[in-house]
Amino acid sequence: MRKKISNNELMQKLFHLPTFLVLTAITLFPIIYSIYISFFGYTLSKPGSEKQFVGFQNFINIFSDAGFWNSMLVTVKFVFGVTVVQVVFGLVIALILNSIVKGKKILTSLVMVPMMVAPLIVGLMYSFILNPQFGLYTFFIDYFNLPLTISPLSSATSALIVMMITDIWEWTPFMVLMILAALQSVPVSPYEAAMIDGATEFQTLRYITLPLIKPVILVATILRAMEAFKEFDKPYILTGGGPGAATEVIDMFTYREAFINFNFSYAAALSLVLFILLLAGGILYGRLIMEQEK
Amino acid sequence: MSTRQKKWFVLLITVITITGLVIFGCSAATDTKLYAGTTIRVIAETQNPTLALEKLLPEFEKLTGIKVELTYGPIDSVVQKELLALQSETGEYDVISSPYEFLGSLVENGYVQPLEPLLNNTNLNVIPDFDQEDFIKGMWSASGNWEGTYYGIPSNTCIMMLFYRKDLFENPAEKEAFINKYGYELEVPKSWNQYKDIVQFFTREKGQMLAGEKLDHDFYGTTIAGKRHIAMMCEWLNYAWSFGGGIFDKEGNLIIDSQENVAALDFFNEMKKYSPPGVSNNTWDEVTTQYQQGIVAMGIQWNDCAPSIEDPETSKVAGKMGYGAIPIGEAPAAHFGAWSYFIPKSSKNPEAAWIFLQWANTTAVQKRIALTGGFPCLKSVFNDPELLQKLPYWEASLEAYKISSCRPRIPEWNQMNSDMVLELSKVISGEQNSQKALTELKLKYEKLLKDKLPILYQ
Amino acid sequence: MNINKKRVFKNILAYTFIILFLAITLTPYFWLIVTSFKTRMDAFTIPPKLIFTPTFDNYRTAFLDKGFLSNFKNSLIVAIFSTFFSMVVGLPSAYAFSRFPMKGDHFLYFYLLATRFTPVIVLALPLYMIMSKFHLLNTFTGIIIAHTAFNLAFVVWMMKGFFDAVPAEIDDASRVDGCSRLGTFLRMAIPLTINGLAATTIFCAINSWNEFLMALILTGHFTATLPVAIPGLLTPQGTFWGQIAAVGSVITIPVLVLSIVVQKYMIKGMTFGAVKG
Repeated sequence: MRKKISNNELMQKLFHLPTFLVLTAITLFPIIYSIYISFFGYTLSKPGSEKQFVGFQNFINIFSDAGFWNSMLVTVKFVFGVTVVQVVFGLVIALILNSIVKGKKILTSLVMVPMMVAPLIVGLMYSFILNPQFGLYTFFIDYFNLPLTISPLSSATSALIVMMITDIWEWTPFMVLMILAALQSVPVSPYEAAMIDGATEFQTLRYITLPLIKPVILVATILRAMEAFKEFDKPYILTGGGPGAATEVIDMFTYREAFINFNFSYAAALSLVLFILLLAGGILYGRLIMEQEK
Repeated sequence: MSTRQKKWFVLLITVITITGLVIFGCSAATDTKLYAGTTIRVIAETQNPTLALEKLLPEFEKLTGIKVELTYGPIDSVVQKELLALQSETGEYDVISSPYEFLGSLVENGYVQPLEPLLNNTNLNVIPDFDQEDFIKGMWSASGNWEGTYYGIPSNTCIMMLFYRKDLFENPAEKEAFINKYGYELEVPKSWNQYKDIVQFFTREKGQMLAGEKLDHDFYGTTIAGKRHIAMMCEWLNYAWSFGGGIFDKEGNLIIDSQENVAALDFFNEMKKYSPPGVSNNTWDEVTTQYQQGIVAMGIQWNDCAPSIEDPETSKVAGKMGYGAIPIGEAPAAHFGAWSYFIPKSSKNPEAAWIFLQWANTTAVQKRIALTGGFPCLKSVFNDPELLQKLPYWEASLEAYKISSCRPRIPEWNQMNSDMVLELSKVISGEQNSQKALTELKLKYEKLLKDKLPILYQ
Repeated sequence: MNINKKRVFKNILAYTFIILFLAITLTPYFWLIVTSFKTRMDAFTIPPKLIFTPTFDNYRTAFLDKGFLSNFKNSLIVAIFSTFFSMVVGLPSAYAFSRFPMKGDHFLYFYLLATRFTPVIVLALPLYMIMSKFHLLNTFTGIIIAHTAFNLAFVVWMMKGFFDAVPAEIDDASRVDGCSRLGTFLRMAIPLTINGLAATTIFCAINSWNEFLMALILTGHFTATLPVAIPGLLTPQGTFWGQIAAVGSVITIPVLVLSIVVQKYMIKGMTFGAVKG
């Protein structure tokens, strides 16, 4: 009997082993290494600096770095803006899609398209459309005489808005799919009861549907917000963080410090700060899932 | 000696001589194949000179048996790949072509080899036409000499100068209109005031006339590289130097926030008004495209972009361009841009790499490269009359070289460039005024350079 | 009568809205595909041309002349191998979470979650340095390892859900028949979740195929995947929009096709099984 139990436990561990070996090697080690280099002053601008121990100086510098705070602000604006819009649009479209009987599958497939386009390509696509000389956008505002700027990527505010639009374009389908799935799995009985009670459509929506899908919306929002926080490909290819630093989301800022300015230690410190922030978000998400499973 | 002995003697000497000659001749012939079978990896920028070099590589392989794997990409990606490869000492590249501003960084971080041992190694002098005396000393120094030692050899050298639509400048209708409006002849501007007049003059809307024809699109007096990118720093420094500004003064003190620089930045920013919309997305590549599309009258650009503008297959204005000197404010100015070839310390084939570099800098190769847009570093090619005849931008390039200035090559420069393009970019996007931007920049530089100031050696 | 009319009207309204919405959202992407078939002249004319003579030049130049075909091959290699490895490594773990619950489960779950939520940049720099020490830079091995690790959490979470759907009784039955745990896993559990397996595999492949930042850092000239090679089309000779469109189309179309196949499992995949599709 005893032998069987210990075999059991061994088996369990063996099944888990490969996964956690790989994860440790590819994620834990790099993070530990990052922590290590963040305590030095390694930068290519100062030859010999890889040996220079600076303790927590890099972390202190982060807090006094205007560029960092600007980046955080840009990222927060971005995340907040896109998530809110995606939830609203997603909800509206999902509700409408759900009400359609025929052709739902095809229409859903079509709605999904933007989500499947690689983010880098999304960026390039918008870059092409917004080209002041031959872009589709330029043509439209010319043709319809719209009072919009011909070069939205040239000014700080409009560049950020463009960035948000590209993300909304790409990821609203995700929200749609999530909410659609939730709508399709709600129990029928509350609705039957509502019909018997003579509730209007609007009342049904407000008091039955929305509360029922609230958990999913919450999960989706957090997931989307965390992914948006990690945004890199689109700003990289569309604006490079500019004009000025108007679209320099935190991933872009960290990338710049690491791979353009070659301030390796500072970049390591930055990525750790980022990691901790996202970890907090992840804990929240994990808790939510646990609750849902109950 | 008897006659018979004499005959044998003569025969012996003849045989020895002939054998000696044969051996000598053979070894001289096989010397080029000294490193045959080696493969070297080279990385450079995607520019006309590199593309021209690529076409000639089979010849090099035939001559030496050394295979060359050439990689190229846009400046950001090349610099990134190189520096990361050097930092991690992978030995991935045997030759890197790097913008010369990295010279200090590469040397002081211990990434690249000094060239003297290779230069002095006579065993490696296998390329017959290579002659180190043929290098233009000034260019070689700027590209590759750090504190007295040579580390680099000029790779893709280029100069910034004035580009303009000669056909428009010579058009009688335009000339008349200009003199009526401004009171002086339309010609290549010699001062910044003239530059501004011309730029204003040529900025026209769709429907207006240009050179006797009605425009079906907007036309612009100029264009600038306004993206948060090294291209903007390169272009702006021309204005800064010409206005009497710059980064350091003669004593090595920071003068980046001087009145002259502010004026230069204000002027640069003002040019935005007369440029095609979207300048904050322009690097030198977009600027070239805009010339090719024929929507720009005049501007400041790199001479190695001229071939693309003169190419009838991709450019609407091939044959219509003129080239001249950047206006003189307080001083003449022309930005000297150079890429240099370096041999990383981590390279496993430095000798083969050196042979490649010799070959790349022979007259024949340099001339072929010059014909497709490169700027040679050899005296023999520099003064070649055929180039002067064939290439419309050649004379202006030579003149520009004479007045050219370099940007700093200290290890801190990469960070300084990054800071500078950020501040300049804020001005272009209207977020910041010139004075504040440059003051902010000075603070950043002071923090970065701290006790190294004044910088006497750049 | 009134109710029916209302319903029909509502339906028409719904269809109209969705179709309008699709028209607006799909236009940019449609434009990309169309541009890939245009000549340089056609691509840049104003007003934009909808009717034109299509050409395969962009595809030919990009893939044959400029070598994007080898990038395509690289993308395939990385996607296939990293997917394979993440499945091989992750499946046992997913099964274990499903069938062998133990005390440390929550902690392990969390660990997995953490890896998925780490921004790539946090790992990119140290991974770069570590891989360079092991001479894995610019090799297929390096990027495959990285992609395998990134997809692992995905595989485990998704497949756990699918394993959960297979009743434990089947496992017990097979054990009674004398099959080992490993055997049960291999011969019973996996075949029964073949749908989920297919979906997960496709997801992993898509993730690897579209990935940019890691590939940018870890691949070199000869191992560059398609996304990494694209910035090479933004050259001093001008931006080759036609070719970018061609490569962009080739990057996205396989993904679109595959995603239709796994549409049913989309939600599960994107929330790691938290929400059933």
